Amino acid sequence: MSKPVLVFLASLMTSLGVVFPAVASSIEASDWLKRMAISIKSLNYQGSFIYIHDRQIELMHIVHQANAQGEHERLYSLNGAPREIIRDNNLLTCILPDNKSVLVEKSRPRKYIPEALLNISDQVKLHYQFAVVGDDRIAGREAKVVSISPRDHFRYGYRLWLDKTNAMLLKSDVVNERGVVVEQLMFTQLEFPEKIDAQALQARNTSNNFQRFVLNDQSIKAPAQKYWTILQMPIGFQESMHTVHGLPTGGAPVVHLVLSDGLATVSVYIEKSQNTHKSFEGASSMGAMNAFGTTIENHQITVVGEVPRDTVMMIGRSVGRKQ
Amino acid sequence: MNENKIHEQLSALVDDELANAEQTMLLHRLLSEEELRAKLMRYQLMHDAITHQLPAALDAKFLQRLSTQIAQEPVLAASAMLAVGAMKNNFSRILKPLSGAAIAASVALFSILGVRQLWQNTAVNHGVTDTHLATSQVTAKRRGMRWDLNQRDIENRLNSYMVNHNETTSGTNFNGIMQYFRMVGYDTDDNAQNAPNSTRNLK
Repeated sequence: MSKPVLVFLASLMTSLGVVFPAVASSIEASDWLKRMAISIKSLNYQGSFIYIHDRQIELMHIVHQANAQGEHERLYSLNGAPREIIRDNNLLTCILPDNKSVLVEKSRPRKYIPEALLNISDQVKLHYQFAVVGDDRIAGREAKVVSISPRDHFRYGYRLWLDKTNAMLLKSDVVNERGVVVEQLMFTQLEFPEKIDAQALQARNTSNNFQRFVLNDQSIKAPAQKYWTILQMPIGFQESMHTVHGLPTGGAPVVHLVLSDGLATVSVYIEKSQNTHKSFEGASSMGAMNAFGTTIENHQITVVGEVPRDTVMMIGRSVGRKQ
Repeated sequence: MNENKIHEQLSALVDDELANAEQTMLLHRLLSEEELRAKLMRYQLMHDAITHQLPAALDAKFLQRLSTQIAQEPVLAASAMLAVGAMKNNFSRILKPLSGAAIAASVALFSILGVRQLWQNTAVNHGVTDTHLATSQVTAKRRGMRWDLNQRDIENRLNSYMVNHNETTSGTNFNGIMQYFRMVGYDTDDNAQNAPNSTRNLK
């Protein structure tokens, strides 16, 4: 065999040696994420965790029960106002004492494994890199660290610490386009009891005098005609849903577009501007969740999603009529 | 554990400097001790003042309250917090020897001059590069965990959109009910004023 051929083969084998570990890491990361999704849905667990954002620390507690009847879970705050969210097979109830309001919506059936993680598609890999990046220890439990890194600035990245025994999520970071952690969630105490005490799943708030917002119109319809579209879509995002439905806060039905890149999702709500509602203009944030509002052709446009602020703004400003 | 040690740990926690082992023990205490949680909130506020994350406009009443808050804390605690931040924040080094009132006045001066500082820490932990939360330039409206609008009806509507968005997109979400932690963890100005021992909003 000639020397040039030998050199070529050596180079090829060297580059494959670099590529194969990366592919193996991506497959391993995918397996860990699938196991994590199953654990979150199928295990009994209860624990306390901290949520860190903008240099503030919030303390919360979660109780999750899974049995033959389905899932029943409760999430509540340990400091500040006693906010809590309860979900069972039928209803999602959000009790917000400081707003003196209760939001009630029908609980939607959840897939066992989210589609995006069932098979990490080539489309998703175009925009994210998946890898197992190390080991750590959280809340006294050994963990594997899985990284989901965006390839551009239109989406967030994630770092997930998963229990080595059962792949339960122990800690997660949301990382912005500059590589800065914008949100962090970390269990400080977590247990997996065989049975969950029924009382632990009951609401503690007496919300009798609160304003209730209930989504009565459960019929989600495809609109007769699709008048609206996104004229300038961020790279990798596509329209995955286009429906008309009501909202718990009332008012006329809204057109609801969902955009997705396979992992991140953004909702666009379009409704005729009403004199009874103040319009929402500009951007706002709640942790890594960003929202943007504007008015186009006498319609209130509201965009919400766990994506960078620039992404919701870009989407909101480019809502337009189909030609 | 003596009180001074707790103060140092709280300061370090606020500054993302607390070692993992100490963090777990301290967080356990925070979960069960309301007074300790209130102290943590006061430290966060003081830290925000020193790292220029307070609203751009400060009035005299706010400064007076801030000065009182600082004076209530042991000098060691305030110094410990400043010392922990000294490596990253040049202004902390300047402020270190000052008393509570002087710190408050300096905060006002820096705010008026529009001085801001943006810094970022990175650390390698167990072979995993760990980027700590960064302090960032905060406008007068940014509040952290809330829809920073101060208009309840719009906030209710945004909450409604967020809940609907979370439920609609549950097929691609892997967090389960934890996707709602933002909503459970948010705080409003009204709540901050009314909550016992809360010093979040002294303005």
